Amino acid sequence: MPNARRLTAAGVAFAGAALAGALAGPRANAAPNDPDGTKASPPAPVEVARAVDALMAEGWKAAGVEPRERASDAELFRRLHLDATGSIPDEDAVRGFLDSKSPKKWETAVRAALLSSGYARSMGLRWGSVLVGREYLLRTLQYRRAEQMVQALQGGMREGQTDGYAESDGPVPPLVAWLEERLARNAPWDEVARDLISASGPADENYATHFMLRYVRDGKAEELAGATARVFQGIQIQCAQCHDHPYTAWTQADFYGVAAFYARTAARREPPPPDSKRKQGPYVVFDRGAGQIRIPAPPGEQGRLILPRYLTGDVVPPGAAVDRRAELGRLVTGEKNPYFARATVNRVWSYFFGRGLVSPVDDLESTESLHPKVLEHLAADFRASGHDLRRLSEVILLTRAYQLTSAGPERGREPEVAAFARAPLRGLSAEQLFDSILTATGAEDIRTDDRRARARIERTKFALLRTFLQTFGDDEGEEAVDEGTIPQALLMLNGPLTNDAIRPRPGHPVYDRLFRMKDADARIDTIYLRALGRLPSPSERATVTAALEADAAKGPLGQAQAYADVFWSLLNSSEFVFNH
Amino acid sequence: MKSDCHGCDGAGHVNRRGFLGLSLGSALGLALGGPRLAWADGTPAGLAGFGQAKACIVLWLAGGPSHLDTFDPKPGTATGGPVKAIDTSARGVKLSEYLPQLAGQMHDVALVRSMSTKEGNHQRARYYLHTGYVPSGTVAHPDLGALICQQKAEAGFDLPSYVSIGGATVGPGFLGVSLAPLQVTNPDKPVDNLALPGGVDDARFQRRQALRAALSQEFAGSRAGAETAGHEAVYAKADTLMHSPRAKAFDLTQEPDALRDAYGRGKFGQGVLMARRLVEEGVKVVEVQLGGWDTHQDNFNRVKALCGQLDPAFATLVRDLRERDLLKSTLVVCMGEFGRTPRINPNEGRDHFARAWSLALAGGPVRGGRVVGETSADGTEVAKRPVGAPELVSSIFHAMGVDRAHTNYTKGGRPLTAVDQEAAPIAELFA
Repeated sequence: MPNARRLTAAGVAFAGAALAGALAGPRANAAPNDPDGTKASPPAPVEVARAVDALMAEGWKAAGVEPRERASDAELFRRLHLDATGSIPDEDAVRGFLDSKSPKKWETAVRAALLSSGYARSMGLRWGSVLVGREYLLRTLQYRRAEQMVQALQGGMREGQTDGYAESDGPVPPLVAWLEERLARNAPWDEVARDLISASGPADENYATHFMLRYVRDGKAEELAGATARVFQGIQIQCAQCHDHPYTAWTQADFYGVAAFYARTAARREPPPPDSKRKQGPYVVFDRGAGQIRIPAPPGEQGRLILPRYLTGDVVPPGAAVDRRAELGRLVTGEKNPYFARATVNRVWSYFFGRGLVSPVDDLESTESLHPKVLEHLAADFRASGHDLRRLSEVILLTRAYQLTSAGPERGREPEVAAFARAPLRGLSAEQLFDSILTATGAEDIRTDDRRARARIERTKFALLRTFLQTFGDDEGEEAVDEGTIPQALLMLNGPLTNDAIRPRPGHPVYDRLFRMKDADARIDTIYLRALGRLPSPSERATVTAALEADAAKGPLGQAQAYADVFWSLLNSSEFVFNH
Repeated sequence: MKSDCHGCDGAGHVNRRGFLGLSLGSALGLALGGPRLAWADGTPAGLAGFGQAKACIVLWLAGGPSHLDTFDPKPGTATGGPVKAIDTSARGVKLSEYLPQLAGQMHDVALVRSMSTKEGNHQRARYYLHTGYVPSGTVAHPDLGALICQQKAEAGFDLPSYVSIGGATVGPGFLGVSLAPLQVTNPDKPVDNLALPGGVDDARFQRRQALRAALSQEFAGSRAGAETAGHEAVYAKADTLMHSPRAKAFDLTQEPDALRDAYGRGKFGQGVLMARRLVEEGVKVVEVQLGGWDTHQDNFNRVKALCGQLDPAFATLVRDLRERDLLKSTLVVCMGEFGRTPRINPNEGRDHFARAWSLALAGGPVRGGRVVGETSADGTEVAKRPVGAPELVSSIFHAMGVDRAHTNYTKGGRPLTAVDQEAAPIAELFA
């Protein structure tokens, strides 16, 4: 969940450049497969992106589509911030980017976005949703504990990367907090996967256990087999839970072979601490010393006993001494297994394009990609980099495909979007919309040293966020066409967040600045840069000027209201509510 | 098994067929082993009442009510607890003493006392009863409200066709947000954000809308397509709702005090009254939620108190609909996600129990006074005519005239019928 710390995230865009040295990745000094440093150093991300560009061009040619032109700087910068940091960029960052003449300004902006705390937070939320679902995340929302922050700080985080953790006092689901910490320090993603699959212990100490808990708490440990294959391998085996898979070669024995790795996994509740008022203590995830799984059989018959056997064909030796889940983690992420890198690449691609190279994103076997070589090339680089997730994101953001415009005639739109030859329009998620309204209206710049006032603001924000999450629903479909609902529209039109945030009042961070400006054009520029991340076109400027002049006769209040109305109109425009 | 699986999108739906005993059990398997009818188009030939109901009100008892203390009392048994059974206006049908007003309406209410569903987890069971499909992790199934509205909502209707009062429903799943219900959090207050914010009168709102339209033109023009058009359409609908004369259906102050009292002045009673007002205006599906039925402790006092809200609301709804000549065209379904253990635990509570439980239906083509199925003397087993969640959903679709064979496609392109094609409507409710 986004939270209080969002407050500090927006202005980070160019400040992040100072941290560029930190971008070197999880294994800056030695490639994981190359501890002695004898191999050639890996190509720079921009070189990989150029190779991907060439492969994309082949795919476009084969599909008979022409890529559209590059997006404008403004369109691109806004898209980058929504995708990589979870919010639109703030005014200063937009101005800095638009004014910059550097030929490397896109590379610099990409790096800065990927080093911001917004990157770790928004990606943590996405991965958390993928692992356990949004409903579970909401159910487990809790205030971040101070000790956890300290751990995060001691966990090898770099100087300058700590802003998000030190200042946090907003609520966050534990699993998301755990993921954020890994994403912030760019932990190798295979390590993250292994930690999730093998997590044990008290849930309030090891937050990674929530992936297990999500299933074993409901007594559905066998569903972990399907979830593991889906998330980390992009393979659908859960159909084979009940019958051999209708589309692919997976059999019931394959499904239960994976489920057998989890056959001993369970959760219990600790007794409450003696001084606690709670009736029960925290959940603890553990493995029993014994336990096996059988293929279910009709009543009265005994099903076939299945031993742990992974989809690669690997088995584990019997006996209680083997840590089955640790073994599974190694098999899921192992050298011999190409699916881990492919599945992760396809997922990360979908974060930036709204759709995987193969779609559905977690079913690599279902359809052919238009760009099969792109997936393979990115997967190979991802593996060679030691599963460096930030590098993967950087490569994708530097591709030509990511930088194409969403504009163009309606004719030809669908095939172009399907081939990644035109950028799609994607509805903002509840968190993106919420954070973007705060960024645009300056509501997040309201600072105070009074802790109680601070806490009150946080509570109000959290209540509003909850409304947003409820109104904008549980939509986990990263592939959905999202035109919105009536309650969403009402919330935007008449709701407290939009309307309170744009209401002129003394001390308002935006209006205070606006009314110090003498030039009406400069004021209009400011509102446009804040809300839409661009300057108005001449005809838009004329429309706004006319609207402002109509209210000019009403005195200072009428004037202020007129600016608020312009703000309101932009926040409710489709340009604002879509990532385009 | 392969040929059976037309659209496997997950773990659940195939094991319904009794092939497995793991997560869905033998009772349901047996239920399906009985005589089975075949339909060419998903519509039962000759079964009365298809499409007689024009609207559906779901009274959702979240947490799972104890059937033994509501619709299936077992006085004088160890499992029945202290609850007495009372006679009702339907001959031979007895209800718990906690439901005295409903007892007076039972000639218009039918009971299913043989629900058997095998999902004992709140979230999973809630999903199952709303969709007819076991949750699968890979596909978000649409709930019955969304499926009804997909087929039955009228174009140009200026209220939302699906409204949810007092709590979230399962929702439209992969059918997308356009079929999501309008949420009403508190019936005593108007719909969230329907009123203009402070300091904005309608003239100013219209000015804002005009400016918004003008400033949207360039972007929408350069990116014409389903998304920008959809955005404008939804905003237009929201604007219509804000200004619709029918929106007064949300305003309970227009009802006489005596009737508001009769429904019960709590959120639930007032929500049920709002449901009637909405149905009267043409809304297709309204779900009203009453939570608190998860009575692991102190079951009897708590069920009694909850029935103090359910009883007047449900009974008054049936009477009110009848008096307005709406009962024949309005299906009412009252259920939770499962029942509760006949065994009374050491905390005077009852725990989750999906093996045998009850629900009530009224209105539309439902024959009042009917009782489908029965449980054993101690209430622990279905003794006769087990009914599963898909059969219930199928029955609701039959009453509402929904094509049960209508196929939707998931995001992965897999076909999924509105309800499992082997799940027949509960014929005894209608014939």
